[in-house]
Order: sequence, then C-alpha cells, then structure tokens
Amino acid sequence: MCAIVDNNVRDQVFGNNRPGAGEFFFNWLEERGGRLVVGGELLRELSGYSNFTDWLPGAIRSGRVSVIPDQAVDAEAEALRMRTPPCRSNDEHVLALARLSGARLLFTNDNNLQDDFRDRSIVGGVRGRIYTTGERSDVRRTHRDLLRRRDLCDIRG
Amino acid sequence: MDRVTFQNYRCFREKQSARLAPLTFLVGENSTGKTSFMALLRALWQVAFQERIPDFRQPPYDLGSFEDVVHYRGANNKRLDSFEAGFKYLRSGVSYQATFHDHRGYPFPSMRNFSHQEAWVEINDMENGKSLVYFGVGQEKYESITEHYPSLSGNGKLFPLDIALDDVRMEIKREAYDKPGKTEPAVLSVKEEAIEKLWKGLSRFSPYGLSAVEEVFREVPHTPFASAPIRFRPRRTYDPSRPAQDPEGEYIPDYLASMSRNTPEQWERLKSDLEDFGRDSGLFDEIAVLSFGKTAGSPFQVQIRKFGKRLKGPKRNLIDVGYGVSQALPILTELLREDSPRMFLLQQPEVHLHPRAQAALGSLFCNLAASGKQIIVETHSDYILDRARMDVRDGKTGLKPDDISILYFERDELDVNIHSIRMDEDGNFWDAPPGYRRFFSDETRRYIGL
Repeated sequence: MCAIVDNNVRDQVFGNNRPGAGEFFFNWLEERGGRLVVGGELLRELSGYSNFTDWLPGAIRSGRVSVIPDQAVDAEAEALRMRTPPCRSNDEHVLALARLSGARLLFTNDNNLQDDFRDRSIVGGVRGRIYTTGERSDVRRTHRDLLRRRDLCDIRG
Repeated sequence: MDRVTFQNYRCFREKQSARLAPLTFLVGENSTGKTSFMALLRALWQVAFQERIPDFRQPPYDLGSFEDVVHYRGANNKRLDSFEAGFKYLRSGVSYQATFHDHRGYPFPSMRNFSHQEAWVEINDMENGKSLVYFGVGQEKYESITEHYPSLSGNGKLFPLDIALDDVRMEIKREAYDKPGKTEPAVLSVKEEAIEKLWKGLSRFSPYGLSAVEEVFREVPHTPFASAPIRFRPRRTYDPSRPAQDPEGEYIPDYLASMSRNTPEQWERLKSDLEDFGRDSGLFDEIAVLSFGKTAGSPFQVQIRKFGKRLKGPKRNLIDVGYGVSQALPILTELLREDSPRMFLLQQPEVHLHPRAQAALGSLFCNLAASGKQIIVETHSDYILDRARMDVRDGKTGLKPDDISILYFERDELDVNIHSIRMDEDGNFWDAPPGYRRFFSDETRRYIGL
C-alpha cells in the first residue's frame, strides 16, 4: 500500500516525540509492508529534516519508498497550477505525486489539501483517503482501518 | 539461463524458483545458501552442456559428499535420497531437469530431462548398464531401453542425450523398415514423427549439432567463470609459467605477462579497459608488466601507477599497493578479456574495495550485462546495488529494469527461501518481503532514535 506524507506532519512520523498515530504510521512503513511515495518539491521539503534524510536511503534500498523523478512531478504540478478551477490548496506538488504514483493515501493535517486529495477530478481515478491527526493524535480505529487497506496503491486516473 | 528451479538441495527444502537476469544479485545474511546456489548453477551447467557428472567439490565451491548436498530435514527424519534441479531458457523454450541420487558418495544425475518447446526426452540411468529412455511430444509418451555409454564407470562423462536419442531413433527405424518384405511407409508413424521432431530440437541444443537455438548454443564453448571470495596474494616477482585458470586468480599475473609479450594488440585493448575501470574506481590510472629480461622466461612484475593533476606518480609493484587492486584484478581481467565466458559467478567481488571502487564495479557489471554477459553476483555491498539501481534508472547502459534480478535469501528456521525482488523503471524496488534488510532498518531506527 502506498502513502504520501505531507511536510506539515513530517515530525509526527519521523520525529523523536511522535504522537501515537504518527508512530503507528511509521511502524506500518517499517514493519507492515507500508510504502512511502516521494519526489519533486515534497522530497526537497522533507529533505530539510535530518531524521528523514537519515532514514530515506535505507528505506529506498529496502523497497519501502518509491521515488518518482523530480522532473515528472514538477511538470505535473505545473500543469495542476494551470488548472481551472484551481486547487483549493497550494500543494499541487503533493497532488501531482498522487497522480503520478497512483498513491491514494495521504497523511496531512492541511484541510484544503485534504479537500483537494479527496477530489477525483484532481487526483484522478479513485478519490484519495486521508490519514490525519488534526483532531485526535492517538491511534483510532480509522487509522487502523486506513492502514489495513490494500486498494490505495497504483491507481491511475 | 532465465530461471532455475530446485528442491531438497542443501538448506532449501521447499521448491525454489529463481529468476535469473543478465545481472542477478544474490543478497542475504551469511549461511543462507547463496554460495550453494552458485555451485548448483555450475553443476547444472556441467550436466547440461558438458554432459559430465557435476563436481560439487570443485573450487571455489566445496559442498562435500551427497549427504552434505541433499537437504537434511532434522534428526528425526531420514536423510532424503535425492534432490532435483533444473533451468529454463524462456525465449527459446528450452528446459532441463535433473534428479540427483547418491552414487558412491557423490551426487549423480540419474534422471535427466531435456525439452525443447513441446518435444521432450528423459534418460534414466539404470544400474544394469542400460538407460531407460522416455520421449514424446506434448502428451504423447514412448519408452525405449538403450545401452548407455560408461556414465557410471568413473570417467565422469554422462551418456549424451543426443546419442541416447539417436540410438532410440535408429531402433525405431529398424523396427519400421528392416523386417523382410516391409517397404518404407509414405507417412511417418506418430512415434517416428515425435522422435524426428525431438531429434531436430536436441541436435540444435547439443554441442555436436547445429546452432539454431542460438541463445542456448552460445553457452556451450565456455565454462562459467566462478571466482572465490578471497583472491590471490600478490608476489614481488613472478617467474613465467603456463597460466592455468583458478578461482583465486593466481594465474592472472602470468596471464597478463603472457598477453603483453605474445599478443601486444590484445594486451593494449585489455590494458585500456582495465585502466578505464582503474580511473572510475580510483584504484589506478595505468597498469603495466615490467619484464626483467628479453626472453620469455624472464621474471616480471605487475605494476600500477596513479596520476596526479599535473604529475604522474611512480610505478608501483602490485604488492606495494593496497590489497584492493590485487583482489579486484582477477575478476576485472576475466570480465574484460576478449575471450571471456558468457556466464560469471562472482562471490563478494567487493572484498577489500573502497565504496568508490565498489560502485564502479556496479557500473561495470551493468555495462557488461547490457552487452550480453550473464553476471551473477553474491554481494553484501550496498554500493554495488545502489550503482546498478541508479544506472538502470538513469538509462546509463541500456540495461532495463527486467534485466536485473535481486534474489533475497531468507532463513526460516532450518530452511531457506528465495524471494525475487523486482525493480521498476524509476529504480524503485518492489515485492520485498517484510524481513528484507530488517537488520539495517533496526540499526537506522536506533541511530536516529526512533
């Protein structure tokens, strides 16, 4: 199963004082066959976080991360910026990554991005699902159910 | 070879099916059967292409006697009396299967089955000096008994499949036409058609026949090069002798000296290729053979030197530089020589090499695999794998993601299973089982405090 982690929750997944739902997500990546998708602007943003950069090479070698080429993500994001009507958020680079990779699970606490990610006309194919700690940061049933799903990967619009 | 299957062999209890690509990496912890896997590939090659009894004790492998080679299922179970192994060439539709039994303490391929597309032949050697030959096309199956050649008599040769089949073919012809008053029928019987079809396919497979199955046939002339994990210890000076190949590469200085003296044009090409790698890897810029006399019997040294930005450094004897060069040189020479074999079985080529040189090896493997070699590498080097991954992703060599196979050997109690990990066009790995690189993952988590 493939997921995207928004830069605004990076410390909840890769930080040293993570909330329960963030640690649960990280353990899913590490131990339960989870897969993270990165590339383009999002990868550049996440790369400013040392815990992430320390973790990334090993995760790529282990097959827990897919890296989508920057050029493709940047071009797709640029196309989304030209879109009418425009996206609600200014995170076209995250939406572009979803479109290119087929990942339909996003960990974010950004409400506008959540709306965009659920919008099939933006991400294409199946509407995206949101993993969030915006209201509750402990592990809830919704968190468990989302990470149990096997149908949110490799979806093309 | 595109796929290897085997069962009840060494630490592999379950049936294993491993995809081989032009470049195949064998990864996993120590004692998980990677070297046994290499030994099996060479053994299958010996059975199929040289038609001889495989030697599981031939260096660089020494797997012991039959009871060490067959899978052992624990103290309460009897030791098995056979194991099976085979390979396939998917494009040409050739496959080969053998069942090995204990014969005087060594594994003997008492059953061998060759198939080409839908035609197949199977030889079962019997103790009475005869072979039971089955053959057919598709579901049709025929049986014949023929005298076998001395496959069990100790000369190491097996009863060649094509000769066995030819015996059967002649027998069928005799049955059909040699009876008094019988004339040659206008239409071949089904049995005759089957044997003729099989005969054509097999003679293409055989080194004695035609080469229509090109992909398979080009395997035949060269034994795979199998390197040892530790290579030769350099000497200060060498006295020329006849180079005889060995897995440690002891013969390499003699080989280089002989080539530089006897075939200088060929030497210049090899020297240039070695120096290209030397520069990429940071190991050396120039390699030379220094002879201490004018005769062929004069002692010599192998020397290398590094170039600075403005000045060239002194030529140094191989023994006076780091161990990395002498450890890498046998593998490099075998890979780059013009008459090199097509298949390489390399054990830990990264030994003693700096990560830069390990990465350069990764690129070299990609280049050679793209040019038609089949390279199977047992490695613990992330740098080799990383470089191969990046070269494929970046289209540096023409090698496609499907041209790389990563086989992960995972221990499960007393048994081992092989997992195939595939790569996509962006260089991402897929289908890795949860245990893949678990140690590295745990170390990283501890390192960053997660």
